[in-house]
Amino acid sequence: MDYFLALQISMIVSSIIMAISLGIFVQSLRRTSHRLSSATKRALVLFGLAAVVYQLSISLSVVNLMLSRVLFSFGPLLLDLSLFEIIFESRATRLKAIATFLAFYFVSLVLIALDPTGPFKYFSMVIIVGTLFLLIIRLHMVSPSPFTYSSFGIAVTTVPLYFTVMYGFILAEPHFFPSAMLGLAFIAAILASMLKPWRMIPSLFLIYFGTILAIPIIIAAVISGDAGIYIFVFFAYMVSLALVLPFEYFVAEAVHTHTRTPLYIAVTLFSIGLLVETHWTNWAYSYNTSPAVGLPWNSILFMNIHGTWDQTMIFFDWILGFIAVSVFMLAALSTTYSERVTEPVTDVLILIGVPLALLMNPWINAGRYDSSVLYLPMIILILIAAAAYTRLAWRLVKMGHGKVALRFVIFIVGTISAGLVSMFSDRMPFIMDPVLQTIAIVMLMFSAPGNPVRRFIRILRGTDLDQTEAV
Amino acid sequence: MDFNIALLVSAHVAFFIMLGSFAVYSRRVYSVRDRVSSSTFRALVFFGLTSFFLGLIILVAAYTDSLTAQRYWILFFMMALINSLVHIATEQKRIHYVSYAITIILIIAQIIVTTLIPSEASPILVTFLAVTMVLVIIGSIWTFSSSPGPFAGGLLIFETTFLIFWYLATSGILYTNVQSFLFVFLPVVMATALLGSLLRPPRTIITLFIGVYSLVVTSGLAFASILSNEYTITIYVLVANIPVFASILSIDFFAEQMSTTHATVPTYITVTLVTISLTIIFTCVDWAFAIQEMITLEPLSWFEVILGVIAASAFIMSGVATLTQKGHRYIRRLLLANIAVFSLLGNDFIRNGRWDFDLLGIIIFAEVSVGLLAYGRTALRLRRLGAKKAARNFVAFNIASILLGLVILISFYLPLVVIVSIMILGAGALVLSSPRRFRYSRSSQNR
Repeated sequence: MDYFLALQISMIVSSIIMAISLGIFVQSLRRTSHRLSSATKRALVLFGLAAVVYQLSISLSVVNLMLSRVLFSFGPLLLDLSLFEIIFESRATRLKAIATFLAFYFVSLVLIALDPTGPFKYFSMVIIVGTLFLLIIRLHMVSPSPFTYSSFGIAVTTVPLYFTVMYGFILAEPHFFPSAMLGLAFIAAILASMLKPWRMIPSLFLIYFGTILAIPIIIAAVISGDAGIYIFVFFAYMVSLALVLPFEYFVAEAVHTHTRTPLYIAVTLFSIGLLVETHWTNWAYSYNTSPAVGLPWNSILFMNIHGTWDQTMIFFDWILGFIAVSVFMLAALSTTYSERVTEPVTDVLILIGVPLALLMNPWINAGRYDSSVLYLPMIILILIAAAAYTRLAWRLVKMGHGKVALRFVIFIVGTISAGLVSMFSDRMPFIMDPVLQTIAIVMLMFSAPGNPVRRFIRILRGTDLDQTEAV
Repeated sequence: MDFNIALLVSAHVAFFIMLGSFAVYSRRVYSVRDRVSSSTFRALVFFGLTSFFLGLIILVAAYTDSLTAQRYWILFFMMALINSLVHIATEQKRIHYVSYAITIILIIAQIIVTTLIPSEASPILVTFLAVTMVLVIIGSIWTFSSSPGPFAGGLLIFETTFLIFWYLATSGILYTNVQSFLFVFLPVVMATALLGSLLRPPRTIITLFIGVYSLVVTSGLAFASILSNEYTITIYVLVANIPVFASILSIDFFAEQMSTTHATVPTYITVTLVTISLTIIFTCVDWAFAIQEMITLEPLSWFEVILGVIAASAFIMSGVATLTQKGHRYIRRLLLANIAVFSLLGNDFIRNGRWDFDLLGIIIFAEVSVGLLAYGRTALRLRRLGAKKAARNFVAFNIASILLGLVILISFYLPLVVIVSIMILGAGALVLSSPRRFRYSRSSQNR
C-alpha cells in the first residue's frame, strides 16, 4: 500500500469535511445572526476564515511546500485578530492593540527577510502563537467558556502542525499523517459545533478523525489489493463510529447529572476511540512489512499477520490505552466508593502509569528490552476493573434492575473487545479481528438507549441537544 | 579512605546507640507492665528482642561476609519478630503456644544442624526463614490495615529496610561496594527510633530516626577519614550534618502540628525537611567517595535525585497551599507525575550513559524557583494581613531549608570553604527562624 497516496487522498477528504463543517457553520451563523453583536459576528467570521486558511495550507503542503508555509502563518494570525475582536470592546483600544501586534509582526518579517537562516527563523511564528496563547489566557481569566478551551486546543495543535507538516516530516514519513489530520479534524469539529452545545465537539472530532484516517487507507489498500488492510480498517472504522453512540450518551449524562462515573466512562470511550483510530494506521504500516502483503483475501484469513510495528506510534497508542484502562478502572471504583478512595487511587495510578508510559518510549528503550513485559500491569488493571464491574452488575441484578445490568454488561463486553482488537490484533488469526470487531460494533450500538441509527443521525445534525447550553 | 573501617565504626556506633535505646525501652516497658494486657506486654518484650538481635546481625555483618556466622542471630531475630506480631494480632493463648512451640522446634533444629554441618548454612532452614519473612510481612500489612498507626507503619518500614539489608548482605554487594553501607543501617536505626519512641508521641520516631541515622553515618565517615589523614572529608561530613541536627527542632514542631491539626502545610514542610536531611546524609557518602575517585556514585546519585525532586515538590506544595482545593489537586497530580518521570530518568539502567545528572539538576532548580515565587506570594499576603514577623520567619525558614538542599546537591562544584560557610549560615538561619526554641527535652514530654 502506498502511504503517500493515502496522504494525498486524506488531504482531499479533510478538505471535503472542512467544507461541510463550514457549510454548517455558515448556516448556524445566519440562523442566529440577529442575536449576536457585531463584534461577535466579526470574530466568528474571522474564526471561520482562519479554519479555511489552516485547511488550505495543509492541503497544499503535498503540492507546494513553500506556498503552504507562507499561507500557514495566516491561520493563527486570523485567530489572533478574531480574539482581539472579542477581548477589546472599545474600537479605539482594539485598533491600537492590533496595530501594535502587526507592527511587531512586520518587524519580525523584516528580520527574517534580512537573515533567513539566523536566530530569528521562528520569530514571526513565536510572535503569532505567543500572542495567541496570551490572548486565550486573558480571555479565559475574564470569561471561561468552551470557546476559550477550543481556541486553546487549536493553539496547542498549531505547534506540532507547524513542525511536522511545514518542515516536510509528513512528506518524508507519510504514515505519520494522523499527526497532521488531528489538528484539522479538531478545527472542523469546532467549526461545525460553533453556536451549538459544546459536547458535540468530542463526538464530531471522533467521527471526523476516523473518517479522515479510514477512507484514504481503504482507497489506497483497494488500489494495491491488500485485503488484510481494507477489511481490518473498514471494520475498525465501524467500531470507532459505534463508539460515538455510547460516548455521546455518557457525555450528556455527565453534563446533566454532574457525577463522576459517566464522565470517567466518557473519557474511557474517547481514548479507546482515538486508540482504535491511530491503531489501524499502524496496522496498515505493519501489514506492509509482513509476509501477507500482496496475498489474496482468501489465503490470509487464518494467518497470524505479524509485521514490524512503528514504535513511536505504539508509544502514543500505549499512552491512550493506559489512560483508557486506568479511567475504566476509576469508573468502576467510583460507582461504589467515595472520593476518599478514588483520589489516592488516582494518585497511585499516576505514579505507576507515567513510568510505564515512558518505558514504552522507543528512545528510552533504545532496543534494550522487550516492551511486551509492560502489558502485564495493564492486564492486572483490566482484571481489577472487570471484577469491579462484575460485582456492580451482580448487585444491579439483585436489586431487580435486570435490564440495566444486561445493558451494562453488553456495554462493557463491547468496550473490552474493541480494546482487545487494538492490543492483540497481530497475535491471533486474522479472521478473529473482524469477528471481534463485529461483536464490539453490535454490543456498542445496543448499549446506548434509543434507536442507534436515528441517534447517530441526530448527533451528526446536532438536533437532539437542547439549545439552552449553546455557546 | 577505607570504607570498611567506616562500616565497622558505624556498625559499633549503631549497636551501642541501639543498646542505649533498648535500655530506655526496657525501663519503660517494665513501668507499664501492670497497665497493659499480658499479650501486649509479651509483644513489646519480643519486639525489644527483635531489635537487639537485629543490632547483633548488623554488627556481625560488618565483621564477616560469611552467612554461616549469622545463622543463630537471623533465626532468633525472625522468631522474636513473628512472636511479637502474633501477640499483637491475637489474644488467643492457643495460637501463642503454637508459635512458642514452632520457635522451640526451630531452635532445636538449628542446634542439630549446626552440630552436624558446622561449615555451611542448611538450605532448608534458609528457605524456611524466607517463608517466615514473607509471612511476617503479610502479617504486618494485615496489622497495618486493621489498625493503622505509627508503630505498625514503622514496623512495615523496618521490615522493608531489613529486606534491603538482607539483599545487600547475601548478594555480596555490601562487601564489594562498601559505599552501600548507608542502606545497611536503615533497619537498625528504624528499630532504635521505634524503641526510643515508646510512650512518647509518634513524631519522635521521625526525629530520632533522622538524628540517629545522621550520627551513625557521620561517625563512621569522620573516623575513617581522620585515620587516613583526609581532613577535607572530615570537615565536610561534620559540617554538613550541622543543618541536619538544626532541622530536627523544626521537624519536631511541624510533625507535632501535623498530628494535632491534620493540616496539609505542616505535612508538606515535614516531608521537605526529612527529605533534605536524608539528601544531606546520602550526599556525605557520595561526596566522600567522589572526592577520592573523582567520579560520582551513580546509584547513590539516583537516590539523591529522587529525594531532591520529592523535597522540591513538597516545597512547592507547601508554597501553593493558599490556592483553591481544585488547583491544589491539579498541582499535586502534576508534581506526582514529575516525581515519577525523574525517578525513572535518573535510573542508571534507563540513563545508559546518555544524559547527565546535571540536566535533571537544572529542572530541580526550575521547580524550586517556582516554589520560591509561590512563597513570595504567601509572604506578601501575610504582610498585608499584618503578620510581618510571622511572614519573615516563615519565608526565611523555608527558603533556608530548600537552599541548603540545593547547595548540597551541587556541592561537587563548590570549594570546601564556600560549602562550610553556607552550611553553618544555613544551620544558623534554620535555628533562628525555627518556630521551636531549644526546649527539645521538655517538649517531647508533653504529648
